[in-house]
Amino acid sequence: MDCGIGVIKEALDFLVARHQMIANNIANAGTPGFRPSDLVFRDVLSSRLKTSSPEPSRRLEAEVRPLKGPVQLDEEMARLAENSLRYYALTQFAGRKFSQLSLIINEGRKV
Amino acid sequence: MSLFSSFAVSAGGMDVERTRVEIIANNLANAQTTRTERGGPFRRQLLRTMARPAGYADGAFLGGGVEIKGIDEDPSPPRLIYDPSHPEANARGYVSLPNVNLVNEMVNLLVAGRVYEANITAFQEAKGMALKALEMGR
Repeated sequence: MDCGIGVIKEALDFLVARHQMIANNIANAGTPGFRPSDLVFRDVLSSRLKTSSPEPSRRLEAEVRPLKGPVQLDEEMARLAENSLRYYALTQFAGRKFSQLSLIINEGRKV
Repeated sequence: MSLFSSFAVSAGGMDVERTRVEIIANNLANAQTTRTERGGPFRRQLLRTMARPAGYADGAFLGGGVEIKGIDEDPSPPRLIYDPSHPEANARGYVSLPNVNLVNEMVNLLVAGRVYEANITAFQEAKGMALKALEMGR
């Protein structure tokens, strides 16, 4: 019983890895011949829905997608902002989960 | 802990761009230098950088960053200006001036400044993410 916190952890790890990839693209914006890349979720949902017994997966599968070089700084900055907003949203969500758990534990004690 | 390695990547990017600005400043300062220690006019310098190897495996991003490989000289020929009264003028009255193009240098300077700022933003976002992660348990 992890109340969905396991999958939130996976998603946070994914967003941190994606942030590192974007930071790496930005750091190499002046390197000639550098090929930037992005991290995307592999589309596992559609393949799982096709099978007769869809097994819920706890691992998020991601893959590296090469982008067209050279580094486009504006695109990278947009991705950076989007990525950290997603991270903030997930940390809020995880915080709520933790307070729910704490409420359940404390209210159960009173009965 | 991997957010900390993202700090290192962004700091490395800032270091490279600062060095680039220093080299451009040196090129601009020597834009009219007709004699160097090796003889001949000053030659425009260029920063050579290389991306460190990076990869994604088992849900984590490994490596990454940028490093300085060295400083190259622009092989293009010097500018020849006709000025017979100049002490460095050759027998035909031409002076060899450095192959520094002011417009090119200024554009590269602006780009280096912008990339530096982009690295700062990436650094701050990583810091914000780490702080939000600390707030999660409150």
